[in-house]
Amino acid sequence: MYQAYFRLQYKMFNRHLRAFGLAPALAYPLSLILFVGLSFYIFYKTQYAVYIYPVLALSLIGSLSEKERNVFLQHIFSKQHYQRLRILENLLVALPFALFLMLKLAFLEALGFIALSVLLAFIKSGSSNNYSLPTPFYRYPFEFTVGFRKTFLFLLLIYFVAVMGFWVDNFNLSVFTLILVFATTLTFYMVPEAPFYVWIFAQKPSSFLKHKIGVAVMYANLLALPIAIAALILYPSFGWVILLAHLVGSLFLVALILAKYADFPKEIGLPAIIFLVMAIPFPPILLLLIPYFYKKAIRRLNQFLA
Amino acid sequence: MIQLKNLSKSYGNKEVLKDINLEFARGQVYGIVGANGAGKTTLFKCVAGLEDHYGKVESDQSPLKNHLGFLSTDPYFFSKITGREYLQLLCNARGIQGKNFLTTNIFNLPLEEYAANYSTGMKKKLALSAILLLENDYYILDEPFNGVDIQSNMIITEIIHRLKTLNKVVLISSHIFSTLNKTCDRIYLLKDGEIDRTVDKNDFDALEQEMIDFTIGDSINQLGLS
Repeated sequence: MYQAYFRLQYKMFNRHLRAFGLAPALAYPLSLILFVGLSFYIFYKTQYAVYIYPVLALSLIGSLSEKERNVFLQHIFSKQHYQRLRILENLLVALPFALFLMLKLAFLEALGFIALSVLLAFIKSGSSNNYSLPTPFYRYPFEFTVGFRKTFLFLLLIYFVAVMGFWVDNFNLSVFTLILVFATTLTFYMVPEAPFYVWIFAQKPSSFLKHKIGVAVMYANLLALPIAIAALILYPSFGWVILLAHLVGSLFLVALILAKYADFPKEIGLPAIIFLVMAIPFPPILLLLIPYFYKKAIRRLNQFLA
Repeated sequence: MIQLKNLSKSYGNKEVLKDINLEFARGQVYGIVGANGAGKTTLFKCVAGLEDHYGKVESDQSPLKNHLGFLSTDPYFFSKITGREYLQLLCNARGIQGKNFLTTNIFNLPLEEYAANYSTGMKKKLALSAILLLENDYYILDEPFNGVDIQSNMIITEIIHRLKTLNKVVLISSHIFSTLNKTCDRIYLLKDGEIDRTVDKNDFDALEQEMIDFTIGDSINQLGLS
């Protein structure tokens, strides 16, 4: 039974890859190279990688806890089988991350990470209660309204780490949390919305993009502002680093929004993702990507807004 | 006025709409009926500009999409957005300001709750409320009565009558013939992507009986109920 389930998951995943324009035979070795490369990069970049790395992995594993998906699984499997299946699923995803942690001799962290991955199998994310979390972004729904609510706990955690960074007088950690805030806001724009939500705008493509980018940059900077202000007060001589982090974060946001609409209504294409990943170690690439994505986005949006 | 000239649509080799020529006048309500898969929703999406197509869609207000309220069969809502925020989003999109969502909430929807958690009928009512707020000239209502309770059914019927008196163009599809009978001035029967018949108000009852006879025929007797 488990075999049939995972075989089906494997088939579905391959279909997603093909729809994405990637042959599975190429995608698997490429993913492995990307995974190992990014893992080494995180450990090379920060001394806190043993904590950040499991948190990133857990956020990926957490996506398997999505409520509707789990309700469906509960309907088709017995309680016992469902629970075993969910644990197995989480462990399969956790395995490469745990192995890498062990490779870095972080055995205790790897053990804690595995334990948390198993615990996540018992949680269904997405509440059906009627409470709606207040958000400061209600004036211009929807990306930040939805994104803020979905990542609220994670944002709280970032702010907490930032406070800890200030507490122990670690400027690098504070800047890292600032980057994490911007990275979180990027996730708000990853998935294309239903065409209706673009079509409904009575704007030309250029005005539409200007509006989307304006709201995104304003709200993302607002979200990062408490950390930035505290950092500017405590480390005034490093003010330029803070401003640079804001600038680069905003540029990534602009590039991602344009990349999303450049392939709209399909998901962001592989070439765009590769270009954006290339810009992580060398952000000036964004200055070339932004006009390129902009032209493509205008062409795509003409279909819905012209 | 909306005019469709030689409207055609294909998905790959499959032609789902074939050379449709229709004119929808102001102050009139038009029903589009047909079996599942006949092409009703595709026709609506082509008129709205949500689907590529061959042929022309012309209107007396241009561009048509900026004056069109589109209620889809199954309105989609983001997972963490409240009813009020949904209304705000659509008003922002059309540059409409100063609407009081509480006074216009005639369906008594819980606007502070997440719209994705609403029931099917409530979702339909929220989507309808939104397009009514946008002060459109044209309305496409795809299955507006699906899943809504009797009281709301009556309200929606009355809203359609009001839109007619306000000189709007209204296109409706419904599988509930009685609702079309009450609201429409003319019904188009869509079959295999073509307009098979045009029926005016005087002949609605005959059309309904004909559809019942054709659809049900002798099939109930085959069940052998006793």
